[in-house]
Amino acid sequence: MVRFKSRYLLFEILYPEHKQFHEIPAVPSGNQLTSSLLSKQIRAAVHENFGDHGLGSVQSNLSIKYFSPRTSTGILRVARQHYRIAWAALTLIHELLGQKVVIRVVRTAGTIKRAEMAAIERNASDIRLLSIHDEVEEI
Amino acid sequence: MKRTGPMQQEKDRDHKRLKIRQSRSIHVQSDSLENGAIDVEKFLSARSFEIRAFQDAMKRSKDSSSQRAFQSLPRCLRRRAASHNVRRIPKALRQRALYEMSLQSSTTKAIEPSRLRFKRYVRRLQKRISAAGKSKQIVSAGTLQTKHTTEDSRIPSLPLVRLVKGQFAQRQLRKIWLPTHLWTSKRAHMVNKWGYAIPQRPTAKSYRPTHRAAFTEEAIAFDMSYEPIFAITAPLPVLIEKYKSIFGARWALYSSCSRICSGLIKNVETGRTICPCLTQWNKPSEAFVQRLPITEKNNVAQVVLRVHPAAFVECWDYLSGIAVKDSRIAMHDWRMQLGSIDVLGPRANQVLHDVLQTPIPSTESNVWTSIKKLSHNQLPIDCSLGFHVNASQTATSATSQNSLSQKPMLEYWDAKTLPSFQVFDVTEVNGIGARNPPAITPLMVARRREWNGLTIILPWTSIMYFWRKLMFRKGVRFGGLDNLHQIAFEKQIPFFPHDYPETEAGIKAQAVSREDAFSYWQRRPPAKRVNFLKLENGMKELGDPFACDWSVLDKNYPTLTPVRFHLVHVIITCSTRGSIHDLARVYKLPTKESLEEWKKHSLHYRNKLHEVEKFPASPEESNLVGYISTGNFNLRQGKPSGIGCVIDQFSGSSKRGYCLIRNCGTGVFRLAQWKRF
Repeated sequence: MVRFKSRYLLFEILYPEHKQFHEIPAVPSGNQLTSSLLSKQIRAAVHENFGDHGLGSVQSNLSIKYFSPRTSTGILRVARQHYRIAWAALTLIHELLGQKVVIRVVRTAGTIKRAEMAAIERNASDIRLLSIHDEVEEI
Repeated sequence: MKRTGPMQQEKDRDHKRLKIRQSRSIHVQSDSLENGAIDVEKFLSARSFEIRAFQDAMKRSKDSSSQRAFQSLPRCLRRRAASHNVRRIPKALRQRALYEMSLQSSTTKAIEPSRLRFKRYVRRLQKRISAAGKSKQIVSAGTLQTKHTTEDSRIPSLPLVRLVKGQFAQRQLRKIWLPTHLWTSKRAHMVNKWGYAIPQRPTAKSYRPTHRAAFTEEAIAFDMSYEPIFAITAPLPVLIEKYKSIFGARWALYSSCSRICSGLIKNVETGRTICPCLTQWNKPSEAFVQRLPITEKNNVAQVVLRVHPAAFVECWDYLSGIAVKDSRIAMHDWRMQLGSIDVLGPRANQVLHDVLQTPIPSTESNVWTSIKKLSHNQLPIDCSLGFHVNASQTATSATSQNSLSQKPMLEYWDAKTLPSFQVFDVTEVNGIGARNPPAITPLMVARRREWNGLTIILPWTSIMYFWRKLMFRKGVRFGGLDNLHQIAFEKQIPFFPHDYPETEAGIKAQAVSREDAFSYWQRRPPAKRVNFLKLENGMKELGDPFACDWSVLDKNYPTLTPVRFHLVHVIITCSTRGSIHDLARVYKLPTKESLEEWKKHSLHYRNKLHEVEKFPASPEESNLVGYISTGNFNLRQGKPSGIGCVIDQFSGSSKRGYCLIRNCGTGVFRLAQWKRF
């Protein structure tokens, strides 16, 4: 039995035109950005950049496993053979709901657990940095 | 089983789908957002919510996947037949395992006791009982060959093995089983060495767990009953006068403090080391002294020794050679009466306290309970403490009213009186727990300075009871010879006898490992083994490729022959790149300029192995100065290191310096630094 393997891409959505982008890069997205909308956008991007062939090879296993509008972080599942197509499509998305975006893939992992752990580490270090920043400001 | 209808099947499927979905979903924070304004507080709270959601999701997906009872056990508790034999699973999980087995639709059924089997079993028992009555009692199985014995057993003859009765008596006629043999042999690869059956290493792979247990986490225990314990009794001034130069000047000072002295036994006439040993002074009771066949019975003191079995006969012969000439000195052989357990690791003290929980009240046991919270590092170096423990079934744990608030009574070890090994009441040691372990068990706990743990000396028959309690406690591993060697290597101390080529035992040990290495190499097909005649650089391997070949140095340094008596122990680490393995050859740098060349070369990390031209000139054969007996990647140091010996002429008076290392079977030299041990 051939084992079906996939890649889990941990990505975050950045809004470079947001006024506070230079202080804190990660911005919460609005409520309208749901995982289903995002998923449709990604499919559209794949189709636009890689055509029918690209979409066909990736589509069957493309799904958003997690997306949080509050932190603009998400986990995308793709088949391992063609994950670079999905990655490239993510990179080439330049607009979501009228706002300019940059989607940055932070981590690729073979299991969802590893992607979750990578996200936890990033969040923990963000919290740590900000807490230190806060303490310094208080003094 | 009744077949479920379509409605029920639908419900079951939905239920299952819901379960799967729940186990695979990750919660998302769902309160409403402001218009993209970033608030640091909200940012932080969003992040921490996400962390918690991810952790929750990981836990849920782990729990939802079905895991059988035997799959949840740690590696050391897993048994092959656990999936269908409930007795192989710890008692706590047996109910669950039984339930799971009943869920399986397999067709194996439980073994029903059959009358025929029972009858056969009873008949076998009867035969065995009648045979036991008829067989002859084995009174003696031979003695160890020693040079000196006296008629009145002032210096006794040493029995070869420990005579036991029971099911396995026949197997113990030619070797001594450790008290924990029945437990250990099921969990370790055993080896016959020095007349004992000793665990070589656990069957479960445990290189890194041993490192963690000894240096990071809980504790690792070793049954050291294979290290013979014996004693010399004589009036105190006689003891000091006759044996001071053998044990070292420091040793005599320990006769007035409650500490053990660990040092080396040296042969005074030749100046050579025999072996390391642990000594504990004692004042034997009057009754004991009166019964001894010695001529002077005033102010009698006793030295109790624990040495390595590889050198035991040599030690005994040497020490009894001095005793036999002086009728005031007696020796006692307690190899089969007393045994010891070494517990190493950061939590050794706490682990021992959990096991030795019921001390009989006395000053010593008060001191013991008072040091419960300390780590062994915080106890005085070389301290020793003897007390009794109630090992009977009805013992209750020590009252904890005073133990928590007690201050550690470390001043106990400041007293300047002759220390007590008296807890053993030496009159009875020879009969100590001959068949059954004593209910009130005397034992002595000591801390050796080189090792990161505690040593307990107990009666032989009590060891199994305390060993089981120790092993049952969570976090305690056990180890064999290989693990002890590994811990000594990581602490960068030489391991006896492997790393002591200047001793007789060391040479014998190296000869044995040479045979093992050679026979392993020989059994491999020529295409798949190292060809020692053709190394890189067109070199040929120097000396015997399977051993530390001291004969090569004997040739190069004819004035120092035999070279192994002029050696110095060193610790070697690579300067930048390189790895160190056993039997690596140590060379001195030919000239001062070559040191600069090698330093420059070693700083260029990217120099490839095959770019031979870039390496400085290789040293000649005549530059060989020593060997590394144990070399490996040192997990504790985080880099490769080696323990070995070099000739003292090379090291001179300095404590450290540079040298070149070449692993056996390779042609690549690496710059390394040596440090005197």
